[in-house]
Amino acid sequence: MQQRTPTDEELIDAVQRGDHQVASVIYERLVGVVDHTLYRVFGRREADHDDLVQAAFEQIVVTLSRRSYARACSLRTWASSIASHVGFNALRSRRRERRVLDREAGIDTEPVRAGVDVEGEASARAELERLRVQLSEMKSTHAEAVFLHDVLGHELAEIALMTQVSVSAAQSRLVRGRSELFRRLDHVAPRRKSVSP
Amino acid sequence: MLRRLGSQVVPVEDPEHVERRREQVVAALSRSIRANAEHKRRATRTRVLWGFGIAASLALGIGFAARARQSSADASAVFSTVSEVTGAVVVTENGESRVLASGSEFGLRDQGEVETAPEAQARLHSQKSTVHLNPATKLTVPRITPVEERYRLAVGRVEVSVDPDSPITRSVVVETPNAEVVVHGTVFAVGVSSRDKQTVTEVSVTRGSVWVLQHGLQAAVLSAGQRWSSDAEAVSGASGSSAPAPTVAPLIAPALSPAAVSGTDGAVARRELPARGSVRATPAETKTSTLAEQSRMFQEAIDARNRGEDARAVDLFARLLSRYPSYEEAEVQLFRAQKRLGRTAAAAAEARRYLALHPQGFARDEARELALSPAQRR
Repeated sequence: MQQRTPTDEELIDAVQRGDHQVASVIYERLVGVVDHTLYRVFGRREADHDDLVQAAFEQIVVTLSRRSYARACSLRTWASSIASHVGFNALRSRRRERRVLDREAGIDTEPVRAGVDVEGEASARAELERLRVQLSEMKSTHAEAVFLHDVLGHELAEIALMTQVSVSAAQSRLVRGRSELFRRLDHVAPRRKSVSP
Repeated sequence: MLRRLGSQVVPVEDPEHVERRREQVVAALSRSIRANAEHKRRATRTRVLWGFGIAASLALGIGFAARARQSSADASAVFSTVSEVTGAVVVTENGESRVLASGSEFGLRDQGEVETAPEAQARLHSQKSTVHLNPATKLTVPRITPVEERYRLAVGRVEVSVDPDSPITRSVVVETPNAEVVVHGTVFAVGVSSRDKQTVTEVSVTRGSVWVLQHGLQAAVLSAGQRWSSDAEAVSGASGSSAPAPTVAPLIAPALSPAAVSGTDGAVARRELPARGSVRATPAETKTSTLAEQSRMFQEAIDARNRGEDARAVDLFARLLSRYPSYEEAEVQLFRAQKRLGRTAAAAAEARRYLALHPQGFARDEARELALSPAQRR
């Protein structure tokens, strides 16, 4: 007989009760979104990617236990918010340590496809890397709003709940975040006439 | 570029590596769940011990207060419901917020707050009133008392309909940063906006009557077809005759010919918004009979509509509007009925008339779509 998959609510209740047997179910449910979110923050799986995944999951459990998660959005949405927060914190601390560029590159498994313009791809990756660097140097609340909305595609109302501000405040952060990002990108690449999001 | 970041393909990992990570993380998660639960239990035990000591000295008072609160909570249950949600709507109750999906419903048991995102809408029902929240609106929903339902509109616009026949006698009040609108069995709209760095409250009445109070004093009594704005400085002309709407004709343009509403939208809006001249009270008995007749005519037209007799409904709404021009709800019902009858040109003309008189009306989007649809431009 097939076991019924527990709902998000049931998993949260289990965590709050201290039922550690749901650990594997929580992992299976959220590892995809956590892994992908961290990948998008760094652009690759860093050498300590697994540690970051673990840190994100531990943070998720803390928020569920302490009821910081108000059950206003899905568990996956909440997990992507936590993972992006963990990822950007790590990215910022590495930037401060000036080890981002010197760091041994993580596992870059993006294959070079046959027939593809290698230089063009490299240029595109450099652009994305520049974008990540600028996001990591921005005010964290603005960067978070831009990343959650424009990169991960979350609705403004969801972002408001995840970041525990009003919808209008979330919208304001998004607008300011975009302005700041575009200003930074223009400054970094002054010859570019326009930068599209 | 940001979209490209989001759409980057995430490469598949080596299955062995995936399994090793799984074991590592699940083990850590399991420990974390146990540790957090234990931490919470210890913290709870400590709090209980402290609380017990304090509660011992306040036992009698706390016991009575808790019993009273419990019985009142049991009695009230859900006192208002948020429904007809479109777009993103956030409801906050007891400090907890949730996003309502389109089409969902939520029952409020305590004081709460409803906020609609730009492009979102919702409706709030209590036993006495129905409140329609427009986009970008923030409304505090009260814990209802036997005396009143007092909503607080921080920003945005709401349309309120109060059941005059309800056996519940409490009053319905909409409070804004600079006014209070006290309702007596009516359909009306309140908007709060920022103009020249000042908060402006605007009230318009579709049916029935409302009192507008400022600083606790009566600033205006509005009946159907009348408007008021906290931005107004002068009170214009009379509203002394038996038909309230015609007496405010200079502002609300009872003649619906193109000449009466000619000029730019801005000019029409300027005449409309300040609502100067729409704020003199009428004699109580005249108002009562006018309201009664208006309600009767409106109900007759609605009944025809509900029976599916759209042609008859059109005639009745048109007759109502000839008597009480600028009766916003009747105007909306008229162009909808015309549309259902397939009289697209007539419906578009009515929609354009509605937009000229009510540029910020509750049905402006629907009217705009009707008026500007290519099929109507003939």
